[in-house]
This record gives sequence, structure tokens and C-alpha cells, in this order.
Amino acid sequence: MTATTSAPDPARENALPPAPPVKAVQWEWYIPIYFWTSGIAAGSWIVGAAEDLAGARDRHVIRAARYLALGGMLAGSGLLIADLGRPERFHHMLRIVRARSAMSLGSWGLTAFGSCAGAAALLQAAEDGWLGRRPRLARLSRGAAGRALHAVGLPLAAFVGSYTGVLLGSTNTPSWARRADWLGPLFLSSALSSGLAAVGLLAESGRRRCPISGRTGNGRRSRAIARRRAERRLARAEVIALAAELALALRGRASVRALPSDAEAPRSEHLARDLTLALGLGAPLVLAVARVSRRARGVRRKRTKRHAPNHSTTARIERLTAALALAGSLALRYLVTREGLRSARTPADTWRFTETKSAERAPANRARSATDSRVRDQVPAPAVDRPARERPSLL
Amino acid sequence: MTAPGHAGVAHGVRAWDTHGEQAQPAQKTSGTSITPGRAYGFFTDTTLCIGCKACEVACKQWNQLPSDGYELSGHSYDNTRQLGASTWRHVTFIEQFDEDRFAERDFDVFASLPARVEPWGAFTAGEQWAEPGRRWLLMSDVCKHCVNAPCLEACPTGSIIRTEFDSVYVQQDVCNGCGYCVPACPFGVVEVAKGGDGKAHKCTLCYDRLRGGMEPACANACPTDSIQFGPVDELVERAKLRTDELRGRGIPAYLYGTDGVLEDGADTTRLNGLNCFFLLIDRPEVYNLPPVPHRASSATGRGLVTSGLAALGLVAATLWAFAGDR
Ligand code: SF4
Ligand code: SF4
Repeated sequence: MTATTSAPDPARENALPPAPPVKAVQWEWYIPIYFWTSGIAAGSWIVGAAEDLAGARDRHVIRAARYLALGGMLAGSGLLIADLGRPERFHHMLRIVRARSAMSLGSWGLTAFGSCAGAAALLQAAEDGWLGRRPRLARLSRGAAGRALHAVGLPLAAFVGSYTGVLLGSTNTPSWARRADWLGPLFLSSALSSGLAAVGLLAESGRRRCPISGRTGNGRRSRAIARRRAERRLARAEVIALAAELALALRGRASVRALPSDAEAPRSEHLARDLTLALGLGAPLVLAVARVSRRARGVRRKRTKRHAPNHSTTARIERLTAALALAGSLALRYLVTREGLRSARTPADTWRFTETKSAERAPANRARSATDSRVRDQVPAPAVDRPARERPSLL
Repeated sequence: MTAPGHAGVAHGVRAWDTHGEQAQPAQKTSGTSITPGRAYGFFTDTTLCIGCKACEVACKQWNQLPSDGYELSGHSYDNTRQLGASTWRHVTFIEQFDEDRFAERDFDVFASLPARVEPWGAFTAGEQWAEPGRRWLLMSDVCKHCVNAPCLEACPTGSIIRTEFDSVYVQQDVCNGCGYCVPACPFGVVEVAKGGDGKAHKCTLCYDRLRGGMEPACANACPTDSIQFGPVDELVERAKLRTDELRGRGIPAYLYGTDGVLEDGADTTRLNGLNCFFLLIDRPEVYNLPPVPHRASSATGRGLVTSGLAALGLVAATLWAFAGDR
């Protein structure tokens, strides 16, 4: 193969493949799990707050949301600290506040939200009688104080749910940086959908163990209606969250597919991505839509004294929806992380990302060719006339 | 072109006294005195580099960096491959040889010589620099000590600071190895020593040497003055002269990292320029440098705004969904 006939080939231009121009994140494998658990924590808080502030204040939902918020935060913080090169220095994160560092903002956000989650879980524990008899705390938990805490934590939860996306976007990893504006919303919607799913599962198991719920009457019929309504509230919100998540994930897929690194991904990964979109986001969305309409029919039937839908089937569908949504959310974080790692290791991605917008490059750059007249005029003619070469251009 | 310092030493000129009696060592070796509060950096003229790797060795020795092992990369004469936690100088070898480069030459040396040979003049330029396809490009790469350093902006502990010499420095007693500076750097410089001490490491611009009035070890060791140390403003002036000289000889030289000064197609204005800048004669990508390095933190504010808007929408929708069926 001679130079004249060679196709544009960056590897030949720079005869030897260089090391990638940027470095990939050096995270351990469990960082996507941190994204997931902190997302569940944030989503759960939004669900609990919505139930307390706008919903029917169903104690099962609120209890599940509060415990999940703390549990997700504890698990996530543990993973984050374990990933540090010097875990014993984790508190150095709180030496400074830096608005330009998503990691610094995130550390403060996690601290603030973690405190809210801890306080709420404490109130809930008092309400549940875990702390001995504390009627005043229990009353605070159910009353305005609990609601105020939920309201205060709401923006913090939204921040914790979305900042991880901003964190990925504020790097020089092409796959993330190219869609920096959309990763935050994607992670937030994913946090909300997984939070809804987790709260739904936990609330349901709590209900089975202890069917008495706070505000509603304790008759069997009113309990059943309260339960059904609570589930329908969750399902309605799940439809919204999953629809947003799916739309944003599809947009992200288009952005990633435009990158050279995507061609290098193994087929299994393309398959995993499409399966995640179909089974982890699409399927639960369809099921949630079905649940909402089925619930609507069911409640109407109940009102017209016709028989209620089959509860065991409904419960199974609910559990399946929740499990799919949770798995989909985790898979999404893993795939986004993997795409970033591959992108950082693919030089062509960086060149695509860091090229000038203007097609017109400056003069000396264009002159950088053997056939440029300025150069040729000064260089004596070679012994044999070399054919004019088009230098392959990367840009 | 010789750095003024060498001429200074030759003529016995002593420009500036640190302690009233004795000149700083840097004055003898680089012709500059080191004053806190001034911005210092490197001008790396890649056309002068001969790939001897004295800078790599000097850096390893002075900073007591561990060996990277004896792996042969198979990539030219470059077994270092890249900058990292234990490699703060790296000489990039770029072989630009056409596969048919011998085809047109009969191996009679005199017949293959150009008709008009000017020793050290156009012949050298034409054969070695201006013609991709029959040349080596060599570049001693280093931390650029960016003016708006993305690694510094990313660091959540405040470990990375800007020193009194305007260099970017990782404080080892503060860094907790979170690793967020690593993907923030547009040049793949800084790295966390995973499996080592777990902290981030990169070039310090020989902070300890500067404090002692000495120029950095790599610049001191460089035998061709490909690496020149000095105050950034003086270096840019020197680089402009060199660029013009090369252009006059038909070599498409330009500067990378001077914030618009003779930068041509490269554009480092997002970082406000680099304290350690380079003279290049091929496109930036050929040297593994991004044409328009990206300031990672510029996405943070926008990302927070879109996330905030998404949060407003999603929270409002959730409240609506919960309020709808009590
Ligand atoms: S961003 Fe990279 S090149 Fe710039 S100062 Fe930091 S480590 Fe050096
Ligand atoms: S690894 Fe160290 S220097 Fe880098 S961002 Fe984290 S704390 Fe800062």
C-alpha cells in the first residue's frame, strides 16, 4: 500500500497508536451501584414528601420512603468512601465549597440530604415505636414538623438525584461531556422511577405485615380502598417518571451512537443497551400505564358495586413492574459508565469532541502539507517527482 | 536559538542577586531569576527535541518517582507511553514515514541528495520538518499548568492549588484520592496512584526547586534547550521570535497554549492559555493534543440549570399525581 492510495487513516498518519489523549475515571466497579442507591434514596424522599404534602399521608408509603432514603444514603456513602484512594480522609471533602466542582457541590448535597434523611428516619423510628414510648416525637413525625422536614429535603433530594449526572458531564470524557446538559435530568428521572418502585415494594410488604394505616379508618374495606388508592398514586407518578426516563435515555442513545467508540463496543453491549431500554424502561412503563387504567376501572367498578380486580394478579404485576424498573435503572447507570470508559479510551472520540466548530482552520495549519506552495518553493525538487498527496484529515 | 541564560553565563553577566551576594542558580542555568508572584512555565520547542529522554530521567531522579517497570511497548522508542502518577515528563515519539519512502531513492547517497544543498538551511527544513512522510516528530510532554486548570476546578478537597509561581500543585497532605481531577484534565496528565499511596500525582513544576531558586530539573537537563524555563510572558516573546524564524524557512510552525498568540488552528482560550506551551509543526492531534481543549467545569452550571428545570417538572408532576387520587 502506498501513501497515494491509502485511505484516511489516523493510525498511519501518526504511525503508531498513541495512548489515549485523556484519562478515564479510575473508579471501582461499584460506583454505578452508588449512583443507583443514592438515586433510590433521592427518589424515595421525593415520593415520601409528595405523599405527605400532596397525597393521603399513607403511613406505609411514608415509612417506606423515609427508611429507604436513609438506607440508600448509607449504602451509597459507604461505597463512595470505599472508592477513595485514602478513605480515612473522606472528611477532606468538607474542607471547602467550590461551585465549579460538581464533586464538591455533591459532597455538600449528600451531607445535607443525608442529615435530612437521618432526621426523618429517626422521627419515623419514634413513630414506629423503635425508640421506646415517645409519643411527642411520634406526633412530630406525623404532624407539621415531619411535613416541614419533607419540604426542606425536597430540593436536596432533587439535587442528590441529579448531581451524579452533572458530575459525569463535567469531565473530559467525550461520551459524557457531549451530553452534559441531559445527564442530570436522565439520572433524576431514573432516581424517581427507581424510588417509586422501591417505595412501592417496601410499602406493600409493610402493609402485609401490619395492615393498620394511620389516617384511614381501620375497617377492612376502607383499608383496601386506601391501599388501592396509594398504589394508584404511585403508578401515576411512575408513568411520568418512566416516560421521562425513556425519552432521555433514547436521546442519550442517539448521542452515543454518533461517536466513533460506539462502533468498537461489542455486540453484547449494544444488545444490553437495547434490552435495558425495552425491558428496564419500556416494559415497566407499559405495565404502569396498564396499572393506572386498570386501577381506574377497578375503583369505578368498586363504586358501582361490581367485583374488584383479581388482587393477586395485580400484586404480581406491581411487583414485576417495580423489579423491572429497579433493574432498568441500575443497568442504565452501568451502561452510561461503560460508555464513558470506552469513550475516554478511544482517541477518535476526543478528536470529535475537541475539534473547532469553524470548518475554516487557520492558515499555517492548512499549510501543514508537503505540497503546500510555501514549503515547496523552498525545498529543492526531489530526485523523483513524488505524487501530490492528500494528507488524510481527521477533522 | 540559544536561551539567553547560556549567553549570559558565557559573558559572565549576573543580572539579579537574590541575597545580595549570590545569584540564584536559575540565573546561571536559565538566565532568569525566580520571584514569587510571577507566572513561570515551560516553552517546549518540539523542533529541537532529539528524543534523548534526559528530561524524563531528570524528573524521575529529582522527584524520586518509582520506576514503571521494564515493559517494552513496541511503540517506536517510546516505552513510557503516557504521563501518569509516576511519570511527569514523557517524550512522545511520532514516526511519520511513508511506507514507500525508499522507493524513489537509489541508494547512491550523492544521487539522492537534492540539487541545492544548503547546510543547516532549507535542506534540513525541507527534508526533516516540512515533509510529513519522512520525519520524526518528538515532543516532551508535561502538565500544562493551565491558567484555568480544570483539575484544580474539579478538586473537591482544595488539594490542588495555584502556587506563588502560578503553577498548579497537588498538596499531598490534603488529597484523598477521590480521582475527580483525573477525567477533568483535558490532556490526560494527572492520575491517582491506585495500588500505590492512593493520591493524585502530577508535575509540580519542581515547586521545591523553584523555592530554592533553581529551574526545574527537566529544563536544566535538556541538552538542546527544547525545554525552556522562564517567566511565561518572556517565554511567549521568545517563542514568537522562534516561530517567525521557522516560518521564514518554510516550516509551518505555530504555538499551542499561548491563548491566541500564533496559535493558528489550535484554540486554548477556554483554558485562558497554558503556562507550559509548545511549538508544533503538525496538527495538534498528531501530538495527541486536543485542538480545542475543553474546560470541564464549564458544563457544571448548565447541567445544574437543566437538572433544576427537570426537577421542577418532575416534582410538580409527582405532586400532581399524588394529589389527584387521595
Ligand atoms: S488540567 Fe491537566 S494539564 Fe492542566 S494543570 Fe491540571 S493536570 Fe496539568
Ligand atoms: S484525587 Fe486528590 S487532587 Fe484529585 S480531585 Fe480528588 S482530592 Fe483533589
